[in-house]
Amino acid sequence: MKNRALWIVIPLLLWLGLEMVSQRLDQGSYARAAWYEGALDRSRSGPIDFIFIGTSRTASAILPHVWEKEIREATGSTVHCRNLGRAFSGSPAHHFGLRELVQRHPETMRDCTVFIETTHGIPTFVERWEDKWFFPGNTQLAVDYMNRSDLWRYLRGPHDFESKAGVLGRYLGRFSNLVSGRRQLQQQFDWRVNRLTKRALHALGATEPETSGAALPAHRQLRQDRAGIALQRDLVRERTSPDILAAQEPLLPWEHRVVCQTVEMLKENDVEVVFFEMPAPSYVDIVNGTEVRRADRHAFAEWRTQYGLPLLETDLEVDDEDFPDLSHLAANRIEDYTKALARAFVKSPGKRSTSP
Amino acid sequence: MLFNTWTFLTFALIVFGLYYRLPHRWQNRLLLVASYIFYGAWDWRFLSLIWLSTIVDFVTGRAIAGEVDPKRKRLWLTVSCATNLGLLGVFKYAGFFAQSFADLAGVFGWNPGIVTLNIVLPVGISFYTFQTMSYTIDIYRGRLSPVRSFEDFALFVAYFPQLVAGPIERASHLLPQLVEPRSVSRSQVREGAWLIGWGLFKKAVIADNIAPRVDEVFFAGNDWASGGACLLAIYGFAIQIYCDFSGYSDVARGLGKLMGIDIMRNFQIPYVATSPQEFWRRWHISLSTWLRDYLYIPLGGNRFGGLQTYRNLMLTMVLGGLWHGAAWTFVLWGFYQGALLAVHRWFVVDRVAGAGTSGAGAGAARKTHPSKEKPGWARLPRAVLSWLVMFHLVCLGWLIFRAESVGQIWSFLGRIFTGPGLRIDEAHLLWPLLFFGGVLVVVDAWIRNADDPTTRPGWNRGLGPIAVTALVVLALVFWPPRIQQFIYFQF
Repeated sequence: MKNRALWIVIPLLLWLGLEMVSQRLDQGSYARAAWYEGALDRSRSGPIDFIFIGTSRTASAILPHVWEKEIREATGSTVHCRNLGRAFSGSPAHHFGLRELVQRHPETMRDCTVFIETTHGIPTFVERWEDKWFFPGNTQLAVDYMNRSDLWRYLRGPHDFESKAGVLGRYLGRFSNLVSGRRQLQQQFDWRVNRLTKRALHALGATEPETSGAALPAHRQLRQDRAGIALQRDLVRERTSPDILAAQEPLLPWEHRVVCQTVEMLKENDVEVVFFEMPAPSYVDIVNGTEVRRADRHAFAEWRTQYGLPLLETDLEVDDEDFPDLSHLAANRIEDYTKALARAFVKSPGKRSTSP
Repeated sequence: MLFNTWTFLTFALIVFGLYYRLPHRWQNRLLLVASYIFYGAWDWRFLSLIWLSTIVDFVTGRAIAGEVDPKRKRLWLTVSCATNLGLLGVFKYAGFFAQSFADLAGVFGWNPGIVTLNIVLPVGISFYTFQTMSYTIDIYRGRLSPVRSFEDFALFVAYFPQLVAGPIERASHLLPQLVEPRSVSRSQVREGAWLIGWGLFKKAVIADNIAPRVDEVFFAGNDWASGGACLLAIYGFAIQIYCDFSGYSDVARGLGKLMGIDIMRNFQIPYVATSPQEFWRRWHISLSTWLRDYLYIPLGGNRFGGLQTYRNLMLTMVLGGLWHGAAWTFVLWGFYQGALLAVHRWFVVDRVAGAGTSGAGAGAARKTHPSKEKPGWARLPRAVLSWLVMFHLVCLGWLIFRAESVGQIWSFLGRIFTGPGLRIDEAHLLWPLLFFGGVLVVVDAWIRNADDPTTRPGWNRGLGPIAVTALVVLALVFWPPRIQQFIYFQF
């Protein structure tokens, strides 16, 4: 009897304790508070004037405080900016997050402008509902703000059994941070222990890596070691292989892409939307220079014009040296880029008035 | 269908749900159908190879037992072995040997114009062909009677828990359990649950979290890793391959126990070995005993002493290496393992223990070896040193096994011996090894490979629930983002 009680009491206490620890660990740029959860919290207490959504490139290249300062200096208004760009996020995750914001705080969102990342005039997010909703291991990004009908849609969709079971498990485990937030915990743990190990190695006199050229921004925990950069560069090179380019499929019709449906949802709720051009290294010219992509770009421009959505471009000049891993803008260029984008926004004819 | 997937969980729930409701004969039929579904989920076309192997060995097994003429018995055995080795030859080695021949011819300026077919390697072919061969060989040796029921034999060949990555079962051990009605005891359920849980943990949490770090350093064309990173990658691979493979074996044994079937143990905490001989008694036991019984001993084993014993050791281990895969690095690995065993035998068994004597004298000398007379504490430094040396020799073997090319082996060794330090930006390679390796060492040291953890000290005094909850939480948090195939599937 005593033995059975131990098997109930100990796991329960241990679980609760670890659940509390995991809540405390949920901090930093991977934490929920740094994403839509933070934006929802902010919406309760004050306005959000600008929201940026995109991939890790947006996450690392847009500095909200620089943007706020530039806008304040140009317009005299105090503004609040949120960078909700996120590594491994996809359009369904942003769709659900923005929908949550619009539904829970419609008044706040009416004064907000949402910026969506594009590359060469094509949105970076091009998924359809029947495509994958998340990158492997990042299920929670899509599940966090999923509602029951989204879940049902996913379960009925053409997705494989493994991912359906994963989504269902994660959806049902949303009450527990250990279950639903485990990827963030993993990243947190990895980041913290890595930092400690580096300190220990430093104390032991380990050598610093030889650095050459520009560095990546540190604030979004991009991999900065040579291995990480080499892997990323290799991944990027694969995208320009003739086989991959030959297999490119048209993205038309744009109405079927989740990102366009997100725009429609935002427009229906009187939220302003602006597409912004993210600087890219020269390899992207090859990827987006194919006939298929040229047609896609043209069609997207038409779709955008139909909705009166501007595409913001900057006068910032970049070359391949500014992309240490061939993906993300170097640390020494991100401030310039944020400023250039803010200037371009201020000059653009369609800009909205900001909150006083 | 991998053990660490939702698909397998669903499959297993259905199979077990039906299994416990059925009588013995229908249980076997269910398991046979389930095994074919399990295998067919990879590639249903390769089921035909399993069926061919099953039919040939069932027929030849009966023919061998029914024959009186030794020549005809041998002929039937040859048919069985030729079929199984022929399947292996065509599907696993044909391309490798053809390419190697073409490469060699190219050295002499001759282009033989060999067309290498890119034949897909059927999953688990090395495992089930060896398993079925043991059946006919044992019948030939008079150690086993042929099974009457074709259904039972087909299940012996295709039994899904150990079909694709072993353990390589012996007919004399597994077949009687399939033929006779089975029951499942409470202790078997307990053991099965532990083996499945711990096996999955080793595979998914330990091996799959270490794998990306190891792959990163072994990544072809990588010339930036420091000597320290190379060393960590080798240690990491030692942990990864052990957890990956023993994890699979544990899950297979656990599933077997839940069906009332005992599958042989495949690992016995191998990294505590202090000699190559001991290592092979603890690592991939089902293969090493198979090679011993069906290759080393028939070659003469150590019966004739001297050079023949060394030749037999080398031949057995080189073929064992080649069994793992069609690549020169596996041949080299086999050669290295054979050399380790031969040198150990020469140095410890023949030279030190024998001390110039032979035959019975050697045995007497071994009994009175001075180190045996020392108290436990005095033997400790020597034991630790032996362990340390052996562990690093095993790791050197893993470098050969894992290397993308022979050139990479030299490159790694060069970097380790010329600049063994770890750079600060390689810190991310260190902590997973310490953390996950630490969990492995603590649990292995406590459980000591026992099937039933409740027999270990402290389990029933609170340590059991703490350990299980901690492992569950660790599994939840560190379950890897991508499902990785088991390393031994490729063999």
